[in-house]
Amino acid sequence: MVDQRTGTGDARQRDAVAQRDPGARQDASAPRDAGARQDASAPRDADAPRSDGDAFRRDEGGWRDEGAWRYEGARRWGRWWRGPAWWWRRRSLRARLTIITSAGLALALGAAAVLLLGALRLSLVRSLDDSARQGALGVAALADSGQLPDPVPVGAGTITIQVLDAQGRITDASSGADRLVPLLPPNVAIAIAQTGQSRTLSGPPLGMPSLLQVVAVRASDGRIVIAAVSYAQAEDSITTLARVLLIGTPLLFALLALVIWLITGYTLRPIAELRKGAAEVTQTGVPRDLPVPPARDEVRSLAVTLNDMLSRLAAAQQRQRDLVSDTAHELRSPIASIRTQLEVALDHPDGLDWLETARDVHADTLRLARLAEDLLLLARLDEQGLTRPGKPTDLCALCGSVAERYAAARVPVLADAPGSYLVLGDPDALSRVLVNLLDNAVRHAASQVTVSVRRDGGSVLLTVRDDGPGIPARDIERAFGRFSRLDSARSRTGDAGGAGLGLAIVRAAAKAHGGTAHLRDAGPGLLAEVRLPLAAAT
Amino acid sequence: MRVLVVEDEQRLASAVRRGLNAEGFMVDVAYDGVDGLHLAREGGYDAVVLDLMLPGMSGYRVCEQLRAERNWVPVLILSAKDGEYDQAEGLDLGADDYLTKPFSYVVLAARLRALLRRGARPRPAVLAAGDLSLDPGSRTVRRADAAIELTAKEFALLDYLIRRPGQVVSKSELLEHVWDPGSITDLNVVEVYAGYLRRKIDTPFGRNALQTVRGAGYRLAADGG
Repeated sequence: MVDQRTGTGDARQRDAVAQRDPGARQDASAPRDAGARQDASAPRDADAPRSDGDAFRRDEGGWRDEGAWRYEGARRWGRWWRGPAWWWRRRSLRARLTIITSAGLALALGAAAVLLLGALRLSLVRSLDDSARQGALGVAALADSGQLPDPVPVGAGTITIQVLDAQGRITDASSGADRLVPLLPPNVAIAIAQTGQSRTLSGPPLGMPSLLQVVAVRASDGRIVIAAVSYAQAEDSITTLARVLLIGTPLLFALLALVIWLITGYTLRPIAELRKGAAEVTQTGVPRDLPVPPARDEVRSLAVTLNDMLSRLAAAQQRQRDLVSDTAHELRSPIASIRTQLEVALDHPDGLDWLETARDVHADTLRLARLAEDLLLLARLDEQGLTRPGKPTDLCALCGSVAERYAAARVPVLADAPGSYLVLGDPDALSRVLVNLLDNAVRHAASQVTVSVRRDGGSVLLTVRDDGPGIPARDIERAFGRFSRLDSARSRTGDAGGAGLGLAIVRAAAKAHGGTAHLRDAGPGLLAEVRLPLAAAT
Repeated sequence: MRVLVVEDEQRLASAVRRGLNAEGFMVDVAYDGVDGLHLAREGGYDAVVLDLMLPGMSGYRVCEQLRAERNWVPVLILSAKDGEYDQAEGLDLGADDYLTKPFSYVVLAARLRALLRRGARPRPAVLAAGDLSLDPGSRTVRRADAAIELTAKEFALLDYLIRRPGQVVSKSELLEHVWDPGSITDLNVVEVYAGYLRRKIDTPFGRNALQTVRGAGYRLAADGG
């Protein structure tokens, strides 16, 4: 099986080589040009280290050396050998549907033609039998009443009558009928007269032009009336019908196959249009809507599903673009500031306060560094969750130590973290969460900030609450977006505001620790809640 | 020369101010969009350097508002947004120049001087003759509130005529400026397209903006007909 598959691949590769460079193939068929042949075989030699096809390849080498006709022969053989299944798989859906339907149709039409012929023959034979029997019964009645004329009167001469006596001799006959030899032997005639059957006889040996349909009827005194009807007319009808069917059925078949081909094409057109739309998306790289067919069928639901997927992709692409452009903007601003300060200082050094310039440039550099750190942290959290395997961290202790750093903040920070709750995580990332939340709270608080840690079921709830102006409910989710600034009046005149990454980092870090982060209105002020799973050890 | 710098990066703004001061400009600084618009309206500046991402009101809106008020002070946009559509939008809203951050201070100063040379003559972003208006940025034409669909040639013809309202423009000049040079030499083509244009901008509204001046050419009525 492995060898066969390799063979198929090789044959295909050979085709590809031939198509790519018809010249090389011509050269390959001329044994004297060894170099060109080498070229033609190069792609196969390239994957020579593969061991499973080595034997096959050696064989082929033999063919190549023996000359072009063997090579061509192998090509043809290879193509045939791939088999009907291979050929079938390569047909279009439309062709396959048409072929399957047409094959069924051909069988049905053929069977119908055969049945029709059979039924016609049966009914014709039956009517011949009936007319023969009618004639025989009439003659028998005449014979019984002793009024049988000679020759026996018959209709238009299509029927032949013989009357046999009890000894099997012909006593009377219709004109043109044999008067010496009965059409049926007397014992057979008696037998079929009893059962009411009929016999088909060949005409010519009896001096008749065609097949005969023969019946027999008993009369009085042991006499038998034999009646024969020529088959010729029935034969004509059947032959005519057969001719009509022989020509008509293929024509009808061809017409129906064409109709099937057209209908299949029509039915599959929405799929072709979907494909065209998808190809355009691939070419342009711009996700846009695929055509949705009006019919409420499977193709429509496929198109709707694909469109849904494409619009999600487009939205993701847009988010990514926005993020990149926001990032670029945030990185460029401090760089522009530093560059301009330095350029102006160098251009106009007279009366410049170098110390102040250095302080300003330093402040911008710090801002740039912080931004770079934040972006890197976010990228790491997005990429791989926690950077290190988590280690048990006491959130209460962490909370206390971080809160101490805010002793000199513009409002007092009260820590309410009794006890000891361990969470599994990265202490640096967790302390960043706390710092970001406290920075925000201290910036907006009116009189104080409260931070608390307590247990809530199987998780630890960290809350930071300020009594500042809060955030309108509709903006709360937006606050977690990257580079989002809700406070439109806030300017970067001071260094109070960050780049708008603080809450994004909080949420990303909480998520990386298997937790959640939310904001909610706290009457006056804002309440930030971070829920983290409690470490199992506690 | 008085220059207004609208920029929310305080240190950047003061560095620009220091530099421009040293080159002899009088500089005022506004740190947000609302202040910036107010100062630009009232201050009588010779040029405005405008950031786009401003607290309060974006630079786009400031620029648009100034032009809507027929304030033709030269505006140089200074922004970290470097997307091509960001730049195109800024310029189409009526800004005169666009410089992306980080920028060279020398180039900023040179561009400002170039802007000041050009002066504050009216240069509307949306061209208008009476109630007939043409926006080259979005390629739209309106008569009062009704949008008018024009073909590319009809648009180009109207674009050329609306820039010289009330003046007679000869057919050969139109042929030269609206059609490919040398491709068409038959002046009839101008007449044909003038007819098309008239059927779209005048006939449906019962107006007569595009006037034929016998033996001279065409004139677009300054009041829109």
